[in-house]
Amino acid sequence: MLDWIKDNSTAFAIAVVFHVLFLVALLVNWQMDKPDKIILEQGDIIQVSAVDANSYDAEVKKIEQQKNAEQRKKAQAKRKAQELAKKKKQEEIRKKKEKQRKADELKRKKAADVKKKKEALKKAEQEKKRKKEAEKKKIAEEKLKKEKLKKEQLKKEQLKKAEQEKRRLEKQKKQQQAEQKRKAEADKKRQAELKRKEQRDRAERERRSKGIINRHVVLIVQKIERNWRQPLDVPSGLECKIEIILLPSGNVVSVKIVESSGNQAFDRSVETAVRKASPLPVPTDSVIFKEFEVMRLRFEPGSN
Amino acid sequence: MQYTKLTIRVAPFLLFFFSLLFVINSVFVNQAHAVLEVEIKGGFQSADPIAIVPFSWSQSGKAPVDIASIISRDLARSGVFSPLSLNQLPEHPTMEGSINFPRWKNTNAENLVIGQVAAIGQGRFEIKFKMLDIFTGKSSIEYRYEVAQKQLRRVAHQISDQIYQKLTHTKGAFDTLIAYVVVNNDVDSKKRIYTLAVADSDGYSEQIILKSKKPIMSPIWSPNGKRLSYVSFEKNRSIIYMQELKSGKRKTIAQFKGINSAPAWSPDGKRLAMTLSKDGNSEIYVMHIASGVLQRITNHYSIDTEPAWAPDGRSLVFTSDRAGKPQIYQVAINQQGRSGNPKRLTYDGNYNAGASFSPDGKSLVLITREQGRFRVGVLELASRQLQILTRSRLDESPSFAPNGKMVLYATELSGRGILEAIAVDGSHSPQRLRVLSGDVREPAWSPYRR
Repeated sequence: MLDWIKDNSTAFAIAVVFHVLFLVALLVNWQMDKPDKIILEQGDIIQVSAVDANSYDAEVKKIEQQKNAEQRKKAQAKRKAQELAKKKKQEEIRKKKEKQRKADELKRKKAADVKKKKEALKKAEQEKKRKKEAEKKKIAEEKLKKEKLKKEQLKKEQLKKAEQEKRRLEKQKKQQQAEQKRKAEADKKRQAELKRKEQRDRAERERRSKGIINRHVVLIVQKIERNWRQPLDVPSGLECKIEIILLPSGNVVSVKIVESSGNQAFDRSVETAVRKASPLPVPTDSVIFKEFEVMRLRFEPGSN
Repeated sequence: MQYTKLTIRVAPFLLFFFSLLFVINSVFVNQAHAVLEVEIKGGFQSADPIAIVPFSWSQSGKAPVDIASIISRDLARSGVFSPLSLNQLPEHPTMEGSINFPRWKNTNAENLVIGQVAAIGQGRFEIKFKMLDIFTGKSSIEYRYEVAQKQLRRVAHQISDQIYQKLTHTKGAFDTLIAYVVVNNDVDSKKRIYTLAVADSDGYSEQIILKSKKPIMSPIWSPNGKRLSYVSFEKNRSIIYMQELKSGKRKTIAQFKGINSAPAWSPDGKRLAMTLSKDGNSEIYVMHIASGVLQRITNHYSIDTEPAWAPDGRSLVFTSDRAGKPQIYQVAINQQGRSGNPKRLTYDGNYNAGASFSPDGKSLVLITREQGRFRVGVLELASRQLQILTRSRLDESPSFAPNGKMVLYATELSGRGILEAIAVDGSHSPQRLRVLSGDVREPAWSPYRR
């Protein structure tokens, strides 16, 4: 075995190198698994290149193994043949002695040369291949490195961003609080202003509604007086008090005699006057109308 | 400690309760405060505008009596009402359901009278009427009558009374009678014919009580409205008679020597005051009808005449010229006769005569002379205020309606006597009664019919 290794040292070395590389690749790939997942979210290119590297390595390894086995088989067969030939030749040597041995030697030398040449070529090729592989691997590694860096950078950036966001939020919060405080103060101020305005408005409204009430009282009195026909022989000094209920339309809903004059015809004239005057000119404002919903009227015949 | 605990436990409820009370209280106060109190002075006085729609009639053609127009004229004559004329009526509904109230609100009427007349066979008629308040849409009176044809006019007057009573709160006096004397000139004999007649208060449905070629004077109603007393000269001298209207039976009351005149029935119907000159001078006497016993009330050399009873039967007023010119005097009376000395009541002007009491006894209606014209005046006894009602030239024989709201009197129109009625408050112009043919004099308004 050792001999075989000695004989095929180059191939063995290549195999070992490839194994190591393969392992490293595998390890790296395995290590990368996790970050890969993170990266997945970042972009497809990185993932695709990583997978390519993987599959490529496996391919190389396979080819290498196949080659090795073939070589081994070949070597074994050759050795057996050589041993057989050796034994035959030992007799032949004896027969042909040196001559044949020299020829064999020459032949073997030639074969070894060819083999050497072939192996050198093979080695060069393999070297080339290895170099290429290494190159590729390097690129991949660099790529990975770059990606890792990128990832880290990204992570850093994200962290930074998060930090910034946090700071921004805090700032915002502070600003908001300040704003709220300012707003609350403004509100308070505005409310106070509003309250004052309302008071002023109410006073104004009251003043105005008082004016409206007075105006409508005059209108109502005039309309009832226009409609108040008294009986001809009304004695003087009569007085009748009634309570009326009005609708917002001014229509008289009910007339109740609160205090009779004692003269029924006169009382009736009062009631009729109100009904005749219906609808009474009440204010249209529903709030002010409330004042007119129930009215007390005192009737006294005028001096005519 | 127990007490404190209890207080603590009760406190929240109390608080809630008090707050509730406060809320309720404040609402109440607000409401009480919210009631507007308004004073209305003025207005105007006028006759009551009323709409009387022609009544429907069940048969084709014209109804035997236009009840609506009788009511309308009755109410107008009272002076208290001013019924809308036919062309002022926006529609002629005869059933409540067909009244379009908004249209009536545009007239100045306050009340609306509708009705139906139907012939129900055997010469009988059904009359239904209803009065509605235009502004409430409510029916205020509703009546149904069933009468013979000759009573249709009376039904109309009764409806007038219902309306009058409802709207003035005073009894109406439309379903009453008047008695009067008509003087006609007979074309053939060129002699005067005197007629004592009775008619409805509007002058229609005249019935003749007595016809004579000699003067008939001073008709007066018995308090129960069933008899008339009057003076007739049919025997060429003045005699006081009493006549029952229904039977036409009559009785001679006074045919003393000299003047027998101016009968006046006491409110209890048992005595008759009159003017007699059997003792030489015109004096006032009271006769107890049943016994014929006479009591002399006045004793004065001047003329005392035209006695009239106070509604309480405790005094008489009469006309006397004992102060030089005719004036009204009052004398107290009891069952035995005079119970006091005559007191003068009138001082306005130099002629006041023919007084009679208002049903409430508070005033007198009389003829007063003003600027040479004889007019109807009302003297309020408490204040001695004399209000002149008429503007005519020659009024005579005023008498109150039984409700005291109107005065009936005779006046002169182009040399002929006519009857007029006027509202006592003097706010309305005189209303002429149906113009009768001839010269109408000495009207007397009957008491309420029973």
